[in-house]
Amino acid sequence: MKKLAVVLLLISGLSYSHEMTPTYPKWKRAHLSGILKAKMELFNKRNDVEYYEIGVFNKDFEPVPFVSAYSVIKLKYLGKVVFDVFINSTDKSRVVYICSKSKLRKEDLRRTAVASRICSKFKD
Amino acid sequence: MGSVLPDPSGLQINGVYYTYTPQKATADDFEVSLGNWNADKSGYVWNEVDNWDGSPGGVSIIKNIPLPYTHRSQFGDGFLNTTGVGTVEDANIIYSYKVDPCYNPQADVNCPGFVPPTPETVDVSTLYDVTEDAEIEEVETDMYTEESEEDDSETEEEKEEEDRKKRLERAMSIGDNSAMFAQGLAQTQMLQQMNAAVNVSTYLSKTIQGGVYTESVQLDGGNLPDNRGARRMNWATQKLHEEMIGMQYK
Amino acid sequence: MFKSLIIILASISTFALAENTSINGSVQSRCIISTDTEGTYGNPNAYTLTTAVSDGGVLAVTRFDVTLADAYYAQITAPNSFSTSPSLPDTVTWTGDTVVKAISDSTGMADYETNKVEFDYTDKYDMTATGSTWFKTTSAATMGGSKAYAGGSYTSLVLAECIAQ
Repeated sequence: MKKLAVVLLLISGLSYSHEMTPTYPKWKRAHLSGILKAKMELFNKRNDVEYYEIGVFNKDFEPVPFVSAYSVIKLKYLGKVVFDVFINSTDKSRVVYICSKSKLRKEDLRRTAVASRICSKFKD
Repeated sequence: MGSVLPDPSGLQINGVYYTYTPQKATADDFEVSLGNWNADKSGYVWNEVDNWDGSPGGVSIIKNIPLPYTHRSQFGDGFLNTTGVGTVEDANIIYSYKVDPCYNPQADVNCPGFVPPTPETVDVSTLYDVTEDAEIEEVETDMYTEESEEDDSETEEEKEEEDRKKRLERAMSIGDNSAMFAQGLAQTQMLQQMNAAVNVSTYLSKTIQGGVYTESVQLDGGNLPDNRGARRMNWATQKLHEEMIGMQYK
Repeated sequence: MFKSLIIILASISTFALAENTSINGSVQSRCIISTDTEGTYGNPNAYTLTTAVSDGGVLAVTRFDVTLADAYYAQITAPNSFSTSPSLPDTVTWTGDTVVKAISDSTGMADYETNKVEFDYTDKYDMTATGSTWFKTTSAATMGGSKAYAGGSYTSLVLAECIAQ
């Protein structure tokens, strides 16, 4: 059954999104010897989420020690943040993913919510 | 497309959004083509072909086709065609548009390029002028001649009739006037009688019975002696009086 | 000389300076996860919560937008526990599944569902084409021993992940 309809605006609707770039970051030398850093950018288009947790993982998604300004970043709706992730250069070979995962506050939960996680990968 | 799009003439379409669900077997070849012809059917304004060969059915497709702003006049009929084995369910095609209210400058006084409309002039020469119709002139002349003769004969009678009417009117008016005068006179006399009955002048000239009331109490002897029983008081008050008089000389 | 110099400087200061203002941007491959529809649990009987439409529920729908082909995996994990709930009288049995609901490329994405990998409550898709893909997730929670759910608010999470290949 065909339906034709005309609307004034594009159907962008109410979709909440989260993105992190670059998809394939690269390690660079930090200001201290033996330390590597990667610069990441996070954009929050979810008006139901204000906090994102940063994590560094190996190929099996096991956590790898890292340092960043905040392990949990507070980012308002439509906010964008650039942050650095630092690791020990000895861990470089086993680090595969940098991930950002939305953190939902308990009092903000309603019905079945969606937690989103985006992982960027280090390619040799 | 005229029945799909709303009325405004300044409507421009800038995108198409469509969705449908193909129903087919995985092994079957199936293709769906959607789009709009342009106005003269020489080509397409937009056209999308979805190839479902070897793909399972039951999964909806959602596509958004952005277009440069295209005026509605360039859009012809839309179409959704299928080839192969399969059907299309729940098809929705949505057009996004904007409207330029001043696309026709004459649509609104505030639109740039608006030209106040000039009233249409009527070609008078095409109108029928009865006063220049020769046949009508002859008829009018004849009618005037006949009427003028009749007017002469009727004038004397009418004059006499009018005179008669005027005399009658005059007589009636005189009679009315006399009646009014009589009534006025009667009213005046009535008022005078009423005034006479009420003697207002006697009220004005009323006198009050008065006179002089003389003092009836007299004092014999002319001498008023002091009271011996109150001589102490008298002396005290006399002394005080004299002291008060003497104070003004100190 | 000194006076004429002053006059020249004053006249120069009245000229308008024109500059070009640039707008910069970069195009990168990216994966965007969007929540299209938040799910709702229906309560067809005292001991069952389900997102099935026939039972008064609403399926959770997640959208993945990918700008680079063969660069990402999409992993959607159906709920297997409550994030918030009143006290539960017994163990809850969870079922859940994710399927492709809609695609934007009939040729490149038609085989996502047939090629997906399932493990536990997770469905993993290889995003081989650019564009948008919608996934719908069903979830059902059944109380053990057919005991009734206590009154209150129950919430669970669908985990949607986009992992670079």
